[in-house]
Amino acid sequence: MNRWIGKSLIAAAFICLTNAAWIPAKAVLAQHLLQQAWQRTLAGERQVKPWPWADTWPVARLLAPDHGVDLIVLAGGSGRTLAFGPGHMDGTEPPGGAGNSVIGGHRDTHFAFLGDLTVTDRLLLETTEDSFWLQVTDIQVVNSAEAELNLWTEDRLLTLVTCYPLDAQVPGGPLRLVVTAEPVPALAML
Amino acid sequence: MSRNTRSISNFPYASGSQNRWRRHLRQYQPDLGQRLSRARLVYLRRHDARWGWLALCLFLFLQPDAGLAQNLNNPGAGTLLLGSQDNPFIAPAVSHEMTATVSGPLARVEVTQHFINPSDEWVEGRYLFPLPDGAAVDRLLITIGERTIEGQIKEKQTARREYQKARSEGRRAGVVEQKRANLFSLALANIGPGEEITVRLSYLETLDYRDGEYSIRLPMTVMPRFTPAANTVDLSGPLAASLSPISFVFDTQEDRLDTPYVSGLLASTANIEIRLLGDRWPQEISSSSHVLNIDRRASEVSVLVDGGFAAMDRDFELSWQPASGVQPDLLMLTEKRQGKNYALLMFLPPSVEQVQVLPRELIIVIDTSGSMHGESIQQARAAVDRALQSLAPGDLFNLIQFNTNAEALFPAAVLADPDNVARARRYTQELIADGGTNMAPALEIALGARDNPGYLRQVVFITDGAVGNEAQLLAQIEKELGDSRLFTVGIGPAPNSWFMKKAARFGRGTHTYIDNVSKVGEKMAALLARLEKPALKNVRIHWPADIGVEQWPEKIPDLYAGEPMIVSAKLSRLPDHVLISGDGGAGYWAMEKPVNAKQDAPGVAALWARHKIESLQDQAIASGDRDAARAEITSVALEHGLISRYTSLLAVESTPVRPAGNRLASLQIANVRPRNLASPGFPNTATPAALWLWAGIALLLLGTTWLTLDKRRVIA
Repeated sequence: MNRWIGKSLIAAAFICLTNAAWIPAKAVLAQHLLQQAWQRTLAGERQVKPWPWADTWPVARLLAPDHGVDLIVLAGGSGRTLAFGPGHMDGTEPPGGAGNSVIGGHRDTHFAFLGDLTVTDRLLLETTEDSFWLQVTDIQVVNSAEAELNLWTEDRLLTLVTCYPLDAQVPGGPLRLVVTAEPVPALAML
Repeated sequence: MSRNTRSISNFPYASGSQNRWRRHLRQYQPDLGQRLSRARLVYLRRHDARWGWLALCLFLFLQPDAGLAQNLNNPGAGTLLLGSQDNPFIAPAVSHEMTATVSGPLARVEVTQHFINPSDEWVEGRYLFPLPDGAAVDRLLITIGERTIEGQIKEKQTARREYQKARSEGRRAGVVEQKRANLFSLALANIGPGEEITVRLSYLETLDYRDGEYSIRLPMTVMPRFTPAANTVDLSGPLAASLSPISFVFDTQEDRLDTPYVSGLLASTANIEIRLLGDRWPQEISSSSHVLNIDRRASEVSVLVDGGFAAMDRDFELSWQPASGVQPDLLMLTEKRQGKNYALLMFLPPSVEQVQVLPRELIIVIDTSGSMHGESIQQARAAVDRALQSLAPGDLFNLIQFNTNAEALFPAAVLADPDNVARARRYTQELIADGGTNMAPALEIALGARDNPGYLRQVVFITDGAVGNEAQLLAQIEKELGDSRLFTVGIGPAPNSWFMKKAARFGRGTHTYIDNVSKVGEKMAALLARLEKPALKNVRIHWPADIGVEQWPEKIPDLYAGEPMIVSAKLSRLPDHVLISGDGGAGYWAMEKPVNAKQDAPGVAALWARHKIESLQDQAIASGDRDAARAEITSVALEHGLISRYTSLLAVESTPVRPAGNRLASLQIANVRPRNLASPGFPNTATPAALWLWAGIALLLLGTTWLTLDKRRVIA
């Protein structure tokens, strides 16, 4: 009886550890499948499901070459979507559009690199229309219970959101790291 | 009141959970001991250590809960939460006053906002605020100390350039722009250290009149037009209920107006007064949003919010009935401006006898997106239930819910037999609010399946309208409507009423707003009654042939019983008679009335211009090119001094006030979040991976220790 309790505790421990390992593994694996779906999207298909039972599809590709980051952005910001890739929040401007496009990602997987970004870092955003360079113009930590996303602008903005602090052990905190980037005019790139 | 109690009751649960667990453990352990055999008990005492381990582990699990509780407990009320460190935190004191003067169907509303700059820096203030969607905004006055500058109407880009110029030259300037049909922005440049600024903004509007009742709405907060992530922790509920936080934002970079910076908390209330003028004796004055203090005087009734201050976490709403018999079925107000005659016609359709009752096909669409979370979804469920109960046995119906995806209960509309209705009612009770607001697929299903000719096809669309792609959706409605009729039902503390009214207009139906669970029955009953009564179709106003007329809207929408038609016209001369005709349920119907042109009503010309702008804008939206009417709208707006999509009100001073060496900081004041809005809008972006890891390690430790101790006992 007592040995049984001890063994089941250890079995439970392995379930927990598997879960812990599965989250980052899923995040990496999904991105590989998503790259294929994105290529098909670029080839002209719309709402390409990366796997048959998916309820999301790629909408853009986000690169941070200085940080070795290459991510496929998915439609929607629900927990289900964010497990596989950063998600474009419904109701905000589509990536690349004239307005604020908000993309959320998990702090411990896809968007861990937000912590390394500094103002003036360059990001490359690839949409179905074109691809263009953005420059990080602002990095903020805000309280999501009070701050508002600025959605009333007609300027082309990209806002990346992840939870803060990046190394917190417990999910569900109110703080968010908010990185804003603006397109770099083509001339300035020369 | 019930909403407050509900949100607060969740609150101690989270904060007290750690103590509750402690108590639980203390109580549970002896109880457990008693139930164990004596031998076990002895064993237990000897090996207390292992139960200690277990308890420790339990606490490890409880810790996260406690951490969360602390966040909820101390959200940083009144304190600076965050911000870039080199920027000091400054707190602007803001107060609002709103005074509405109501005369007949017209209201002139003056909005006064006070700002104080308590810092020792020169700042720029930016503020977003909502106004009713039909508002004709025509006056801006900015007072700083003794001086007052008055706003002039300018083309939007010109106004922006002149504002920027004044701003960099150190002159005082203010500009009000229209961001969306019902959302405006104010920017104020060069507010000196410690200075106090008063901004007065004034607009005209026509009131809603329905079922014998006038109503006015003063919007107080802006619904964020985005969809919250799923599974969010309800952080804002208790905050919104108890504190009415107003967050603001601080930016020191000179050329960047749009970036939010720091947020803090400040209680926010408005001082509201509504004056009902005229010889009427209004009855049943009531507000479902705030508690009122009503003062009846000889020639007017003054309505104040009880205690003088209204919480700004919800729109202010007031309704009243004109004294019985006073409201005529045709009312014409006129104004002469620059040699031209303007008229505003308000006409109440008669209740028409119905000849034949067509069976109907009722399609109910319910928004179950995340923004509907909380009380909104309860209201929506109640509204759907009410509509389901109203179905007659011969009717067809279907039920569609949508969030990120749309889902129809039945593949096609089914007969409203007791089984189907019962199934739909059960389905309704199980709906939960979660996910995005993706309205297009739902509209497509609702308007698409038209395979039952001979049925009156009515779509009842229940939503808070928190969408960003309004123009696109309206164009879709215009394209797919066919002979369906779209009736929108607005839900929640701050629905996007502009969109929903427009959707109903494009869908040739009506819009109903429900602001309170207790009103669901009454308001839905009124809507359903309207659905059953025939509308007056093909309504026309026959002006005398020798009068030059420019009438807006050009095509009068279908009329439903109890709702008036409001038409503005520019006329070469005033007619003596006016003839109105239309197709009723029983055939052709017409009414001729002598025009009892009342005294000059100031504002009629401005409202005509506003109606013209709105109609032009609608046509542009329907055509798919939102800017199709840019030139025409700009010229009307400039002529009548109105803010529009292409024109802004700009006030500038000619002499600089800010010393050349001082930099200008920027201050952005954000809006109070609508109460009951369950989610902060930011996505939830942390995985429980770390938590699983720690739990795994803890369990592993516990398990191995247990087994080691067990082995030792066996050996001993």
